[in-house]
Amino acid sequence: MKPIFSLLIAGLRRLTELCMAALALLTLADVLGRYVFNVSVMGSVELTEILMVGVIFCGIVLATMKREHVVVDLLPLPFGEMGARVANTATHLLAAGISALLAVVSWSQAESALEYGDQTTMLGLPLAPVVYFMSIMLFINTAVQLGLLYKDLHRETAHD
Amino acid sequence: ADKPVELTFSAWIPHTHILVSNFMMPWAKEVEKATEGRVKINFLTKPVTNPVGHLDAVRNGVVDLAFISYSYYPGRFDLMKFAVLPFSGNTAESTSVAAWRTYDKYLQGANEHRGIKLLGIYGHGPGGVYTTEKEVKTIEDFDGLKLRIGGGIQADLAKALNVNAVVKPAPESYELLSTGVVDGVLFPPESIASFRLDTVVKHATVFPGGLYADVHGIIMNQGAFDRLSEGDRKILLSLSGEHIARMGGKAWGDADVAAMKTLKEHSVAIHQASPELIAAVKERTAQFEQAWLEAAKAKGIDGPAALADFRANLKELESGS
Amino acid sequence: MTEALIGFAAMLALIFLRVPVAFSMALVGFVGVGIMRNWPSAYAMTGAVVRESGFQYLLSVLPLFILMGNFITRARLSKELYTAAYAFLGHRKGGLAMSTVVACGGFGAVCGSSLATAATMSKVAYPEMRRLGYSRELASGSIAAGGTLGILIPPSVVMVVYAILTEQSIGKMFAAGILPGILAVGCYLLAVRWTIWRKPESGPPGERMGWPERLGALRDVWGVLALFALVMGGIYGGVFSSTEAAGIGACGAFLFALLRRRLTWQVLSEVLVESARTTGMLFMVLIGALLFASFINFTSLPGDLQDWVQRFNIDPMIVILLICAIYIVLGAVLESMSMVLLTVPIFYPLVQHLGFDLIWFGIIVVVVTEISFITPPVGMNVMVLKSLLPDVSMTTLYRGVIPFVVADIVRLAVLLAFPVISLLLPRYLG
Ligand code: NA
Ligand code: NA
Repeated sequence: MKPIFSLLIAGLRRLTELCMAALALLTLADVLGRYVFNVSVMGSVELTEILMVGVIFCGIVLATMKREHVVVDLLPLPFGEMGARVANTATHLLAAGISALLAVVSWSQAESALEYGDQTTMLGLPLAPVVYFMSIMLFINTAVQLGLLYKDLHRETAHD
Repeated sequence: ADKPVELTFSAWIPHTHILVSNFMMPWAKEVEKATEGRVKINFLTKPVTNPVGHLDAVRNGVVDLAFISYSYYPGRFDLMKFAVLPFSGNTAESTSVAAWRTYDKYLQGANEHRGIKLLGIYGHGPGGVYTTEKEVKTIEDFDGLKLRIGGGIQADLAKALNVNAVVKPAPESYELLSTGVVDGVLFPPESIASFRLDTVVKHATVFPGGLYADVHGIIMNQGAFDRLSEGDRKILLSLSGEHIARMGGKAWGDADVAAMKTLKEHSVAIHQASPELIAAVKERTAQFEQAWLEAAKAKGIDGPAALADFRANLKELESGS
Repeated sequence: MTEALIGFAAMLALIFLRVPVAFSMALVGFVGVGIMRNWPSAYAMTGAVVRESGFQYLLSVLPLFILMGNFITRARLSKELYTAAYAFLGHRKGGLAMSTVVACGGFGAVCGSSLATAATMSKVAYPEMRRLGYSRELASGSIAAGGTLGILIPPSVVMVVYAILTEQSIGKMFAAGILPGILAVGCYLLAVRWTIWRKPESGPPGERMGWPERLGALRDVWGVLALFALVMGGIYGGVFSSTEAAGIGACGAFLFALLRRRLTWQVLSEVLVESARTTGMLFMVLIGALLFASFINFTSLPGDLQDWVQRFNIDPMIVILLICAIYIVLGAVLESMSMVLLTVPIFYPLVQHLGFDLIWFGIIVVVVTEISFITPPVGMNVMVLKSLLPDVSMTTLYRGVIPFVVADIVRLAVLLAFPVISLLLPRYLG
């Protein structure tokens, strides 16, 4: 299992780097093209949007892995150690549930994009694969969220 | 009495825009009045989603009513392009009414509105070229001219005229123009005023019949339509179709007239396209009509008859007034 | 109205039970629309929001400005900025804290985020101030507050979000932030003076530098000036749009880090991934806020607000003051970006309706958001400092920002009273 995980994570990082770098370089190419060659990059707006999907949805999974989603933990939880553990479990399950909900609803969006053959304006790129990508990343995010819970519970049991 | 059916309308332009304040809201009131309060239309304070998302929002019943611009859906409403080709009408009202009549008679069979109830269509006035410094007087002036454009027919036009197209969202127009990132925009007069571009553009090149147009549809969720009583459905339909075309077209057209006045007040130089320029544009865009006729044929529509009908209607409407 | 208030209460309850803020808003938004409309609608609406949040051309400035800030952080420009400010101000009482504020302002001119500004400056300024015997309060307070300048002095992520929500020009918004930013630096310098006046031992003077050293230090900050000139000059000179400016800025910052030999493949990869991670976190909040806002949109709250103002004939300025008060209260408990995303769509139609300039209101929103970054219990800058300076207690951190919060309130009052400070530059730029 372990090697597969690290391979997946490495793949996710490469994809993220690629989208992020391309996002910046695309703007540069567009601006330079406009001034130096008097042509804009054809469809740069829609390419930017597709790269944004890559950055955002890879970023969501990466942020979950690093537990970077903003949590307000200033108020103490009642019922001490036990309360904290129950709350932690409930919170993770809830977050995973909401993530799964977002994944499912965006899957329906992808199916609709496929059915109607939605495409971009200038380049006519099909949108369905991009929306499926969103949904898949949200499903992965759900799995990562549950993985974190498993890790927490495991550590606590080991601790006892 | 029964509890009134409350319908939710989502508009993706500010409620102060003439299309909402002078057309959609008064129309909603007409519906309410004609049904003696049995059908009530509420406008959401802010749009339920982005402009493109409104088609799905209505189809899925997130809201009951909305308007859409057909140019946002490449590939979905190919045949609606008949009313936005170059030289499609001198006023918003004539384009709108002629477009509805032709749609109603010839294009229903293409079934491009499946999954939603189309109540009516309306369009904007003649689109032109509005520039800051550079003047557009000959076809060569388009060469490499940096223009902000939207999608749809404008994109086709940009390719055919060999302009350096910068496809950016419409609200960015002011910034793109005022900072000199682009030389000009393609818009009808009304949009020049409503996006506050009247203080930055210096030249306008206008074409008889317009360089292009855009058509919107007022759409309704099918389930919401079916929920109305049979009598109310009839009343709603009697206030739809050509009524919507006239009302929407008039609102947009009046705004065009007002905007032209503002442009003149700001001493924007208005150039009427020369016969040579018109001929050159016609030659470069001839393939649009061909492409449309082929798309119509593929969907089993009598394209030549539809186009002839549209033009005959335009002629009649524009001579009549 | 009642539905909206129940929704707010449910969301706050989830947040305090430590459900991530983004997910709390998403859940309440989904359930709220489900109850107000119907479940298939809620399902479709949620899908549309997720899909829409991805395809956002205008919002591409967020990851790109974040990327730019991260490259600059790696290029360690903060050190030079601090040294330059120190050369001029270090010999005064409290001079290091003043240097921190000025250097934060300078860093804010090339970085769009408050958190990044505070985090970066803490690495340089805090050890230096402690070495010279500055109190923990003043040392950490000046960094936490100085960091908030990151969103007032352009470029600014919060301004971008505001401009998009209210359909204002990003260029004008950026231009509007410059004078209030300078005012803010001035107010913070006074806050430092005040602290020193009350407790002279909290900020002893450093050594005085000669003019050759000062000019030398000033020369080293050319990189910051060059990048600021590239981004702002490019926008106002008509070379590129403010959306494109972020991409150009990121490329410029990359080049800068490269020339300063701070980049290895490893570092480059870290910068790219880190920026995407922050983007993912921000967009998750955005999705949640949009879902929650959809729910609010279906309630009567937005209309009720306008009705009240009309019915009770409330003075427009009182309305603005009330809105500011609401922001300061909400800002205490909400994460700053979520607060902006949640409230601006509700307030701006009202403010516009009352006839106020939305660019000016944008500056007011940014300033109250700055305050929210340093007020307890949820002050994001303070929380970031806590994680970077584990030996400083939360109480000390919050005590340290008190003079700066006072300075913020004074500045807010000045900006409310004199809209011209915010509106002068946008008239000529953008
Ligand atoms: Na900044
Ligand atoms: Na706070």
